[in-house]
Amino acid sequence: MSARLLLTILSLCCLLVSCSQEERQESRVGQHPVPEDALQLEVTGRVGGTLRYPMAGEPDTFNYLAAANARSRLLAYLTTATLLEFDAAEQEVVDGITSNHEIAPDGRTITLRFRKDLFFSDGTPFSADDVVYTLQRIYSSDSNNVVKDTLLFDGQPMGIRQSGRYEIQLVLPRPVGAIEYLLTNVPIFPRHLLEGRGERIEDYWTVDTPAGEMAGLGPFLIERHEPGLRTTLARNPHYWKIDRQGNRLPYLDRIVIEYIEDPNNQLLRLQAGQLDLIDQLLRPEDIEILKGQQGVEVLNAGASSNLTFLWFNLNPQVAPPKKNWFQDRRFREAVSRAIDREAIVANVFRGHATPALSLLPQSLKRWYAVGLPEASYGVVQAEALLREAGFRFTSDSGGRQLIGRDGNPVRFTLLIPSNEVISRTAAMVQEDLGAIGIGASIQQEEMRSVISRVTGTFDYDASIMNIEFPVDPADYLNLLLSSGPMHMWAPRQKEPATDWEARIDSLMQQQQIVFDHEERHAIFREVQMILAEQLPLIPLLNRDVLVAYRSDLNNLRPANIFPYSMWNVWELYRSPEN
Amino acid sequence: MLRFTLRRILESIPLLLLLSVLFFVLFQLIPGDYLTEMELNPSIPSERVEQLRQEYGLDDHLVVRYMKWAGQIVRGNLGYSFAQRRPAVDLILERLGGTLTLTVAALFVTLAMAIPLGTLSAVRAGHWPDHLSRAISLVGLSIPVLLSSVLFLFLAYQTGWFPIGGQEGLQSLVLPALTLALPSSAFLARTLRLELIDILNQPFMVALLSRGLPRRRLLYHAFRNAANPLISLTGLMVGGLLSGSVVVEKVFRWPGLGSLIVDSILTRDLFVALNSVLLAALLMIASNLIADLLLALNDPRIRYQ
Repeated sequence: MSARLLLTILSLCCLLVSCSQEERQESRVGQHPVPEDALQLEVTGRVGGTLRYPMAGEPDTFNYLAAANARSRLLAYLTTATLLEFDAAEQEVVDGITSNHEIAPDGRTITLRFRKDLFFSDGTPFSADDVVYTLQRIYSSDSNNVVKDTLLFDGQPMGIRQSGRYEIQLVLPRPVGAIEYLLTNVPIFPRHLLEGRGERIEDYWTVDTPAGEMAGLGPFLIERHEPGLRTTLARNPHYWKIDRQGNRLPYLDRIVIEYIEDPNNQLLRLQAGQLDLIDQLLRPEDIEILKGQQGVEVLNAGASSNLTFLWFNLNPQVAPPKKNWFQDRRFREAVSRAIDREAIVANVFRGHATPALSLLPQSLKRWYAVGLPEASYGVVQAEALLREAGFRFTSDSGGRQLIGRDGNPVRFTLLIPSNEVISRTAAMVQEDLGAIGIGASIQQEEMRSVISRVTGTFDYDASIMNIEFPVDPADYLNLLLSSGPMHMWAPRQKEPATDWEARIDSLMQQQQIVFDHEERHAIFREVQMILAEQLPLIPLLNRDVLVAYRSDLNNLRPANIFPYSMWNVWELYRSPEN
Repeated sequence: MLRFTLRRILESIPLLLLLSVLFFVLFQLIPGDYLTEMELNPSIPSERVEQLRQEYGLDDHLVVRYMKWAGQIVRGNLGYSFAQRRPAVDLILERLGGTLTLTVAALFVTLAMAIPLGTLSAVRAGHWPDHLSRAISLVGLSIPVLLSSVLFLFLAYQTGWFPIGGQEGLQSLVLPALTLALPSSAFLARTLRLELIDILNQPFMVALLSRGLPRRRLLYHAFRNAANPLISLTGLMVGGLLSGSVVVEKVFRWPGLGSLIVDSILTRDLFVALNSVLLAALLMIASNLIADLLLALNDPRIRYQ
């Protein structure tokens, strides 16, 4: 009797627990009706599933404002919404959390109207108060974040006016050509979680912050972080985008970001079905291994904005005769023409890169300029240019040798960061230069050491590096202004050393205040034209965006720029298992 | 024994101090600092980088920086991670458990493989078990840790018997521990073989054998006599296991101190790098101290030297 009673009580308990769980599940859905003002996208898919995605290391922070590297930026992108959105596929600014925005004809006032009845991931209502609060904290005198710099114009902040529960106006001290693009980098923080806390806004939300203390407007929320292993993101039940049928996005229930540094480990895990998508970390040789593998698809999404380039040290400190060689435009063009980019692409990248002859690849369609002069491969032209510049060729038992006007054999050192791909690229450049009698010896150092030499001590001859180039001219100031710290060939000049650098300075200042896109494009085209003629940076190649993914992953449309396959993460979905 | 222990601990303090100065100076000799790579970011103005450099104290004089760091340690504060904007001690403690687990497991596997192999080889010297055991040791010594790591990873993928890296329970400890233990057990087995052969041929062993002592007892006495170099080597081996763990942790995705040290040095995350290296040195000193104590227990003459 007592045993039967115990069994009955136990069964009742089990029933109660399962009912309450179902109720909780029901209420989770029921409590969050889709807002009327939700952003409807022309996509279809299926709710559910998990995406397992590798990154080469863990993020440093979960805070958008402190995210200084791609790993942290990706986590921030997945969990945070920004004032405007950047459509990475179309490469244009679009409305996201704003239902619309407009810029006054004088170009100084921008009105942002936010979608109504939205909620942060913790269920707290969102309003323009949160935006005003975030901007005020970004501008706070003690804050020291990079977004603050992009929002100061001639040292002046924007005026912030709240004109309703869901509307704000930003008043600029002067017209800013790239204002819409700059706003795509301004995150929205929840006022209710940060108000009253003493730290600077960029110091919140470190990787050990409990998940319950963070909330955002992004498609996912941080569920769990296991240091050195993985971060699990759960779908934001309050996300404000819906699909064609009115289902709330994102489709995926979870994203598990696995921190795996070793590329072999990643490859084996993808093959074993323990990873679903690899993009940034795939090696060209992996593509061949994965082709034909059952359940895995591979694709090449074309040239990325990651440019590998060579440049010469044009700082005044460089001693003759190297100074005379490097500063001669014809010498730089001859070097560019001596390099067989196709061969590098074929041998080093197995065809999975794109030879580059301009600063921007064709895939950066919004700013790429057509019809620029191209210093493409041609040994005959290279030799003609060198002869025209007063160089001559001799031959001895050691082979061909280029001799400068001063009688010195042309030899220099190519400083490169320790990176297998760059080192193989440099070896091929060395061989090509050897064919026109230039002796280039390769010196490999650790990345920070190379940067210190290039931007600090200037004790190098030439270098090869690869950098992720930005998508808007607004982000090129450090690189292109002669006073810029990243003006690789001769940084931090007090006065522009050459006329063409002075012209670039003037054009780059001009593009900052011009508002019309066509006009900005024309200005930036002239900048690209000068760079293509003068060749202070000799473009070599753009790496392709290589993607491998499980066949049941759908709606994948990798972009050529960061965050590559993850830019439309809310649309990705898994097919049902057969 | 207590006096001996205290004396050895006190002797470690100046060594640690010296190491701290050495690590600090060496770290400062590497070009660049945490903010150097930020200079490559086209969107970050140089004024911001300089402001951060001041804030982090990276533009202070070398001596000032060392004194600040040493002062912090004395006060029990291990400083701040520039990258993660949180106390360095938190990062180090998160990883310490992983490293200790892996090192202890590797040490266990090392002894479990080396002792039977070395003994078998010595007892059957010149016969096929000896040749086989020496061949196995040779293979263990010649394969680089990186290669064996990748091979074991491939084995995990092919067989499905083990996880492909990660920290998913005891099963995922097997392959990294085995990888780390391979070269050290090979070295230890060869040393043990030589020691045992030498001792088994000593006149006192021959005398014991001729008096009818069973072979098992004889081996026990031989072991006690061969234990000293074995204990010393095992103590030193902890250092090797710690440095080998850098590669193993990366390949097997085992979050430990080794990968933290490499990453923090590469990013110049000053306090995390310095304190992790110092902690690794402390572990090395501690393992040698334990080895010395075991030696003193096994051989009382050492205590009175």
